[in-house]
Amino acid sequence: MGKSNSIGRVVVLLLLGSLASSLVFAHGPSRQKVVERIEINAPAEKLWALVGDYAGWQKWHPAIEASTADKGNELGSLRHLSLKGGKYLDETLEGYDPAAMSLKYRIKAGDGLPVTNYSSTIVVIGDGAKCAVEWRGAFYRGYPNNDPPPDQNDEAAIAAVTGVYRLGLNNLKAVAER
Amino acid sequence: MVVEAHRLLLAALGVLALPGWAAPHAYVTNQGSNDVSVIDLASGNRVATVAVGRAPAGVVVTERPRRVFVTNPDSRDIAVIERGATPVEDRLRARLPAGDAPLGIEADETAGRIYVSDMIGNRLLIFDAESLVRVGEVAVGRGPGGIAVDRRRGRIYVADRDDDAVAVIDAATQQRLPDIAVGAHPFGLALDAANDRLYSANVYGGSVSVVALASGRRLAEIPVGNSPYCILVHPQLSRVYVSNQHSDSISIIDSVSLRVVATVPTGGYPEGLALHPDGHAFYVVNWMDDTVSEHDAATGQRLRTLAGGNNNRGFGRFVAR
Repeated sequence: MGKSNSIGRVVVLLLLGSLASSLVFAHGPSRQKVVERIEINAPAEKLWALVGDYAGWQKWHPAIEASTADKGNELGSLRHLSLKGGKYLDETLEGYDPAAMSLKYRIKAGDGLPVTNYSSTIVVIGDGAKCAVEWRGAFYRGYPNNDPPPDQNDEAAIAAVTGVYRLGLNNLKAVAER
Repeated sequence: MVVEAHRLLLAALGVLALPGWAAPHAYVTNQGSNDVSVIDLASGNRVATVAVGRAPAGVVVTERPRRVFVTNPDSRDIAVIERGATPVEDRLRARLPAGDAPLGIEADETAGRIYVSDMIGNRLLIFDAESLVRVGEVAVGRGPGGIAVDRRRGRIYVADRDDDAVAVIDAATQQRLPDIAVGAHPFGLALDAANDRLYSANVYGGSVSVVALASGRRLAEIPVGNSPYCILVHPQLSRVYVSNQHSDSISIIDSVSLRVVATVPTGGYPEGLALHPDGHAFYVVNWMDDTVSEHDAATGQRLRTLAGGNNNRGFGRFVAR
């Protein structure tokens, strides 16, 4: 009886801890966006093969240690990204359009970014020997109320997402152009 | 008399060039640049920009007095723009402290009142539209967003996002009445005076709740697109428009059958919706694209895409006659 109570208490504490970073639906008033684009000297189909493999982004994004997705490229597929340094992100695939070479996903849980309510679209543009890849994110800062601490304010959220996109796109270009 | 007849004739001919007969304008809040774009809906061009407070989101245009009221959640105030004879003469008149994070805003011009939802302070603030004095404050539920005014019953409705409900306030006494339960995470609200109904856009439910105001009963829960945000009722066409923020589309509901009759593509992350004064078109503020799409009110077809501003939102009645 005593043992199951203390286990219960630990479970509750863990849930509360994860709530702070993952399951909070409350968000601040000001949504932010980041749009990054890169020109790549490789055919669009080659980029779509890389970007459109929802479970396979560790092949080109340096921040990803490992990645699994329970339903591959099917809508609703939940991917778990283990990030270098120990943090993680769980993301649901919400849109997948091979004809338009774009996919959309949303963060469901994870401490990998100081954001809340984050959704993102990545698209390959062009159809010749060269193409462009555009990555767009919409999100709120990590701290939902007024007077956020500096590591969870709007600027920190924008800087973190911009960093992820630039790091990823620069390496995607390098990988695709090999 | 002769002057009035002349003006009526000009209106009938669609000529709106006389001073004082300004063509309709859209006042679009740019959350990213802390200002409001004033767009001439005839030419489609921005003709003025008015600096307001920080992270402007909500907006309502009034004719009496001739003003525009804007919520600035990050500077915790509302900006009051005095409209000039033409928008180039519009001026910021005042910034009024308004709780912790003022977001939604609506006006009741007959009563001379401006209502503001404070999304962090969980209250409705009430201002006098003429004197700008704060005349009331009512605690509501959690995360208030959209506001609708029911003139018939003298009530104010506020969407409480985190309660999945609409708070109901008696405007005269400023007392709360029982909540109306709606779908998951309601944000935008719209009153349909002709049908005596209230609609809520339920962001997490992907639906629109339809409430019959006489009975307080929910008539329907209409599935729409992903993350519906704002709702607009067309008073003449029996049409209700809903912006689906994550589907980049507008759902068009027939208010007689309460069915979705069309889903039309629009820009990226559509949010605010407003009607052209003559009812031939409606406008969608696309937050991701920084544009305003103009759509035919009858077919929903996109007519033009107008340049907007940085992270534009347009949450409220943003079109001026």
